[in-house]
Amino acid sequence: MITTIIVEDEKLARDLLRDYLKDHADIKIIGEYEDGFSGLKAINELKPELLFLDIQMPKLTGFEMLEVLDHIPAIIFTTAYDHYAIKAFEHNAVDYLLKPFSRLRFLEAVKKVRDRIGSGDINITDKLLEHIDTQQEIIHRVVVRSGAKIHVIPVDEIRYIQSEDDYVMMYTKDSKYLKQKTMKYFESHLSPQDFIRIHRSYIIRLSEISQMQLYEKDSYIVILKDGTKLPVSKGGYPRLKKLLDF
Amino acid sequence: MANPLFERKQNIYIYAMVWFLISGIHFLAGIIYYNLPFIVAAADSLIYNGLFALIAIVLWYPVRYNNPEGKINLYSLVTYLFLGIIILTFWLFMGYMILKILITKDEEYFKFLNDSFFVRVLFGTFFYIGTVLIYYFLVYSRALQEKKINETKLNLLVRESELNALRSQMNPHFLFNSLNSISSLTVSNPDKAREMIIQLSDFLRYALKFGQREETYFADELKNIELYLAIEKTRFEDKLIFEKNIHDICMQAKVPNMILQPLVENAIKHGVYESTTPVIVTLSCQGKGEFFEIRLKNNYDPEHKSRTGAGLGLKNVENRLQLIYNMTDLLKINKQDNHFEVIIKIPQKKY
Repeated sequence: MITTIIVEDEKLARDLLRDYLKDHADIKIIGEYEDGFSGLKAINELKPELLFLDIQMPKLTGFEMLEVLDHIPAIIFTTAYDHYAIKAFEHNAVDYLLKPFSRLRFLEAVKKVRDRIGSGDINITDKLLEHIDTQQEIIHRVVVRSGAKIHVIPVDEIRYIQSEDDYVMMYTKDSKYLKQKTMKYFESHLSPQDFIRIHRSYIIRLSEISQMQLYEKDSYIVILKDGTKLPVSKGGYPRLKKLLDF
Repeated sequence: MANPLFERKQNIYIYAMVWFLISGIHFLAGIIYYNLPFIVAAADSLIYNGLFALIAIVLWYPVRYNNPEGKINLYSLVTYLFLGIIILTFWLFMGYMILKILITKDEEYFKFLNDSFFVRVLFGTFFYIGTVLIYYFLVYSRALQEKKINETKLNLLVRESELNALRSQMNPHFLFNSLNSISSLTVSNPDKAREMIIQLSDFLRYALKFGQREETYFADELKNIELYLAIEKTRFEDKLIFEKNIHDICMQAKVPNMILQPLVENAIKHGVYESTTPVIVTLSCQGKGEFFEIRLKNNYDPEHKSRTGAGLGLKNVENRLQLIYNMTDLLKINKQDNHFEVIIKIPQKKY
């Protein structure tokens, strides 16, 4: 028996999946959800083996959901979007179904899932996420999890980012959030007009800079509007100089 | 625009050569017909022709100023006449003075100088008219060329926005998700599936019918947008609520085709797609002086934080309105609390 969850915001699309699944008596639907948030909660609780996941959904997109998932099932994406990411996860997600898809095409996808689950190789999502990361797209929000809580942080609220080993700490006006991503990821996914990497360990929002000071011979620090002092590296200094035009 | 003479070195050489040729003929004429001494003939030729060569360079500017677009009228003709008299007087006077200083003792030459006054006026007039005509021709051909370049640019712009308009009409997400809904309905509700196919077909037919600049009646636009909304309503059910408040006067108003669709699509994309609760989309239209004012309002989930700026779809609408009506500020965005409103103004044509 394979347990599955459907996360899809359109009822008719869920109906169709349910109908196609009727042919597969060994696959049991243990939940259907209309948005990323409730889907996320259910997946972490119910730990299905298979997930049918739409990408464009209210609250959290399918991708954002994957970023904060504890339990990672085998995933079949169902989407009408065949742009950039598709190519990347073509080799990594168990399968993706481009809407509308036929019963035959659906059968193929389910067969792949059985093969994967049979061989115990379903944990491919890390590879998938890596691929998505290499896509150079500017992000507008970041999803983080602290304990059981999920926070959606608009990029507009991020003041600066500090690296913490395998994680980064994002500082907003009132709070800070830990996110499992690399500095490199943020460097390439935050708008270069708004953010700059000033140091191996720091990316800051340009508009947060209050002043820059000579710290020692040849080394500078920036002082943010709230008084936080951050070091500027040798490589960061010319970049900062160019962006601030001084 | 500077004098075209200075655009390339080559031009200056050619110009100098032409004047040398004229001077040469002048010089030979002086020796052969008027029996002038060699030096005197050379001085006479070089001074007069050299002077005119310099004057002709400066002449570019009044021509350029007088006929900036290569157009000619009575006013510019009169200006040329007066300018000609001034230039000829100046030229003859300067030539006479310089030669008088250079050649002080030759009484016979000065007699010749006085006798040849009319011939000089004749040649001066000829030079003057020739120069003005050449310059005029240059200005004219340049204006023509510029116009052609501008037209090409405009055409490119139009085509580009046509492409964009087409793209926004044919949002692939809308299309493929609708097809998926139909696919689902064929199982659960074949009649509904057929109805949706017909709605989608009618909508697509309408979208493909028009050229970029074509106008249509607001009533047709409304009918089409209701088709679009019916399709989206099948997909999103109770999550989408459509309300309208249209003044009768609007129904016969001429508006650009497919102008409502991107507005509604935008409202649905940021309202309905991103919300788990019902979103009310309100379309209203009223006459306001010389404009029709169309408003599209939707509420959206304030927790949905990814929204940044005006989308490409609205930008396209704004560009298109500007292109069609040659006016700016025809699109406004009103963002308050959890409401988003787009207001467009359509200039009313007087027939």
